[in-house]
Amino acid sequence: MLNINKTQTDKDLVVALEGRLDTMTAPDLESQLQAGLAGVEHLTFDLKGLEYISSAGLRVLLSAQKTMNKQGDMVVKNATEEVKEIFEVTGFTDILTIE
Amino acid sequence: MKIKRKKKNTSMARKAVAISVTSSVFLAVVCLLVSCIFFQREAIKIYEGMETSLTRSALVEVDNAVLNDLIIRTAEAYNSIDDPVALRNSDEEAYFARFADIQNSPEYKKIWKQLNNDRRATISTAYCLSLIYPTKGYWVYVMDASDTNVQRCGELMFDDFSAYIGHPGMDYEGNVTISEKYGRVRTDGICVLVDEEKEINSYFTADIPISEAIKNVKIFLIQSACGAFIVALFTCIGVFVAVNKIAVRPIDDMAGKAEDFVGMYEERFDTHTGTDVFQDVYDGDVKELIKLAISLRSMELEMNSYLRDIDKLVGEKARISTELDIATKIQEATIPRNFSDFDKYHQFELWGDCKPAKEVGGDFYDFFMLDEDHLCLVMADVSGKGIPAALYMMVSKIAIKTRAEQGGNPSEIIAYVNDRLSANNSVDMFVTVWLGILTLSTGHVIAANAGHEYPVVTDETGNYVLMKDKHGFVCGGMGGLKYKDYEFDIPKGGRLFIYTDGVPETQNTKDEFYGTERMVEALNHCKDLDPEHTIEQMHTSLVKFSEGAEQFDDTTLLNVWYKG
Repeated sequence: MLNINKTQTDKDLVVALEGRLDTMTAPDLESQLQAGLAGVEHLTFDLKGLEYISSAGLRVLLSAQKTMNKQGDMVVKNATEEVKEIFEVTGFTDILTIE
Repeated sequence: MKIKRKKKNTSMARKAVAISVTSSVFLAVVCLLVSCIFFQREAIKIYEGMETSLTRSALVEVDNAVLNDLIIRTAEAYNSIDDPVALRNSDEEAYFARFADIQNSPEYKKIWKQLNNDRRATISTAYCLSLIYPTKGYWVYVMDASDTNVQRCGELMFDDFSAYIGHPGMDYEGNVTISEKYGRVRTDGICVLVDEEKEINSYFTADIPISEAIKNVKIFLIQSACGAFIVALFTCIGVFVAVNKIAVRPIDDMAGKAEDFVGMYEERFDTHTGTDVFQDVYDGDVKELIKLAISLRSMELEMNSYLRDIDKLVGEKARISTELDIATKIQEATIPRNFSDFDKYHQFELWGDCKPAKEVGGDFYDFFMLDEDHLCLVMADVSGKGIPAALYMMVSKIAIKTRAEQGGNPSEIIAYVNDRLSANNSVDMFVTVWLGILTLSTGHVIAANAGHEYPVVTDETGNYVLMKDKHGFVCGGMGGLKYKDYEFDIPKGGRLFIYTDGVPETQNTKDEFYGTERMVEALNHCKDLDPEHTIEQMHTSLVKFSEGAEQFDDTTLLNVWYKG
């Protein structure tokens, strides 16, 4: 289960994720981002409620990061220790801006 | 399918007949009533006109002065009686004696004869000359020119004449009385003499029997009703036949064919052929039915095309399933299981296993000799699942092995592979890779980690310890990245365990992860076993932990025992 909450103010988009971002839920987030990233300059992922992220989920974050590299910036914040560890292990800390 | 029936079902033809019967009966009744009223009104007008003209023409023949004189004399005779009704009832002789002179006079007889003769030539049964006394409710006969039951001069006839009160000389109001001989008799006529002073209000009327006419009306009504009934009957039959032919039968035909069509369901699916049931299902010219027939036909064509699609899909599914089988076999073959080929290297022993969650997976391990003293070990995990992951896995595996065999440090190998994989990566897939090169003579390992799980190595005491090594970014996600090598030594008799995240992320029915702690603990339980049995034990531990919960990720493990 994954709850996706998008809050957009002008060119700022905050995507709050709650639950598990895995093979089953990643396609949903991917399609929502594909439709919602046009014109966004500052993208923030609020991962306060994210319990788990799998490689399929990481792939979506990577795609978003690549898109935002072209049109603005992207920040990941409030990641739990578990999720932070996954970022650590997979080297995503190198390419993501984690706050 | 069960159809709920709330109302009793009736056929369309029967409904049409019921409607036409009801409407014909209604129409017939209305027509009869209207014609009846019209007939009656016209008949009254005719009688009125006839009686008026009869009386007028009769009076032309007689001497009016004499007639008036007879009227006045009768009125006077009447007025001379104090209570005419009482006298008439008590002493008839005495009463009529007062009028005897008038009745017996020659002029009275002459006029009576004249009028009666005149009357005989007509259909009238009586010509009466009378004095109406509206307030008293009777009239007094002056003369009754008829052949039967002739009323004497002075006789009283009781009736309601109240309409005449205050209207001396008004037209005679036609009225109907019942006579024993003639049945219903209509009386109408003209005013002859009015003298308000003398209270004279005299009328000359003619009686015409109308029973015959009324009988005729009744016969007419019955005949018309019969006629209407017959017409209605034929109309109904006509409607029934027409509705049957135009609508019911074609609809029945279509319904029958539709049933046939439904019945052919099994056949259609067995033979995989289309049907041609609704071709020429209707050739009439009723717009709605043509529409229905077209709908049925297009439904059939649609169904045929669905059938073809299903056919195609079934074939495709079978093909995909076969292809998937072959793909699984190919993938299995790419993961090395030729452990015994390495028996000649007495410095080490190794064993690995890979269990995909789906038919094909994205995990793989690899091991191969770079030269006689260097063993290359690879453990990798592609993001995602299924065929896309499997394709990506094949590409990565070949790229890694090809590049590794050309020489260089793990970081150089991974950096190269990363650039190759990310060059045309439109789907943002990536692979995590742990790559290590073991020098057989020394136990020294030089390794690089591209976003992969931490390796587990035994320490001096022979216990497995999770090694928090340096991590680079996953492979294939982004080009132009640098990776770092790190080095460590496996003690003589020590072991190395590498795995994919499917192992620590194995879940039980309570949604708990197996985790690295449990994994290291389990490894230490079998730290003295050879690689083959270590892998077997680890599988047993995972199965025991998961309690049968379905696993979504591939699990891949590789164990190396460095004997020195």
